Amino acid sequence: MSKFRATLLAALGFTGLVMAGPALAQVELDFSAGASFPSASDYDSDVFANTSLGYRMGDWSARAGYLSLGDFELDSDVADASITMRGPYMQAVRRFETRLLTWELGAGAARLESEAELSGRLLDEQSEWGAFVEVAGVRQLVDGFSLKGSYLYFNDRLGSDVSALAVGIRFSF
Amino acid sequence: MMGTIKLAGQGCLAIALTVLLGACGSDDSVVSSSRISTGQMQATLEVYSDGDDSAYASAQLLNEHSQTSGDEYVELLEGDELWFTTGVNLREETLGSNWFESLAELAHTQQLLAGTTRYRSDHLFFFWSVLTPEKVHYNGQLEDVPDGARYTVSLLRDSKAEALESTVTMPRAFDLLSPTSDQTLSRSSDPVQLEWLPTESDVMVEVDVTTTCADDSEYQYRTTVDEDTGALQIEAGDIDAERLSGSCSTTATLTKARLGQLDSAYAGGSISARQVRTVTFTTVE
Repeated sequence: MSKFRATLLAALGFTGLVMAGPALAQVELDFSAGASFPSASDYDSDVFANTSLGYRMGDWSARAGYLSLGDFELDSDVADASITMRGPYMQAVRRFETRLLTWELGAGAARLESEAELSGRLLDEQSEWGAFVEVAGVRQLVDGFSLKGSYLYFNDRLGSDVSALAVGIRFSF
Repeated sequence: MMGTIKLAGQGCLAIALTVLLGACGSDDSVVSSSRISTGQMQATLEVYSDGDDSAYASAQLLNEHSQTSGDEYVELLEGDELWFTTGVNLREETLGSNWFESLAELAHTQQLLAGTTRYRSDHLFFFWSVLTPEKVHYNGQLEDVPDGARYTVSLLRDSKAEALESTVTMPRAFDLLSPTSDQTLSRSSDPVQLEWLPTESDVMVEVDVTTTCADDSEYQYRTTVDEDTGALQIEAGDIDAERLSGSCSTTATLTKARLGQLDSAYAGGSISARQVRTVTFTTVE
């Protein structure tokens, strides 16, 4: 098979999927906020915020979003020091329906932009991919509107694991 | 009518005094660091310790090419900062792969000096300071510092030449053995025998003995010796040339001082370190 024919078939297949999509798919818009906790001792927890746009196909969802993991301040009397982490992400989510809740298990990668400051001076900044996992419980309240609670975990980001607990809302259409 | 004239006269007198004081007062002013280069700055950098595992730094910068008749004190603005450390200067620090741990360590070894114009009344170190109080100066404090540490005071500038390597080594900690706080000495007939341990080479010993009495009368005696022998005697009568009366409180402050190496980017100035001990005892006539 020539390279041209293979590309053409792939393009036709993708177009077919997209055209078939609306019958199966649903768009999900999530907003959530909560608290994030670094495992590194001497650092305070902070506010966590997350927003994403998802595309649901059957039991699977693909999401893209932006999260603010936190501005973690050193618990110190002698200096103001903090590490900030935030950035865009992509995520794949598998859904499991139960009678009470819909459970979602997700894995993703975030392009975290991190900054370290000491007494207001920027010491270092870095932009790097980091993997995370998430588990969430979703409860539909009314048609197109759901309540979501989630736990998200990053392993070893610049010397500390970071976890976040959040609650939020989801619009589906 | 006479009352009015008298009041008017007092008003004129007050105005005249104000004008006179203004004319006779200092022409010192403040200049933004953004307007001058590091090579125009005279730096006075002082590091102190009183033996409680803390170290204090004070710094004052003057514009060497002042446009006024008085001194021009430099106020650090627009990213210009003074940092005080027992480690390497902040520009050479790296966080590595473990930011959280490295930043926590840096927070204890690197201190930004904060600006103030307040008189430094919170400790006694100003006895030997050459900084001008009530003019803008910069202060900071490091905790849990090692004995005899080497300190670096760095001027960080985002848009001009920096002065990162002004360094000085603190004289070692020492104990002031004599006089003791439970001693009572006669100002006229007893010599004051100062004794301390251990001794150290390459330091200057500065002594300040200030006597304050119940009627607020005060007398200050100061002397400096170039060699640290562990003992110094102040002759009887030397701490009371003012003929103080009654029982008074006398504070002896003994300082070991060492000069360091100022960064060559400055126009001039000094960096010094002082290890300070004080004792307060009673003196009678």
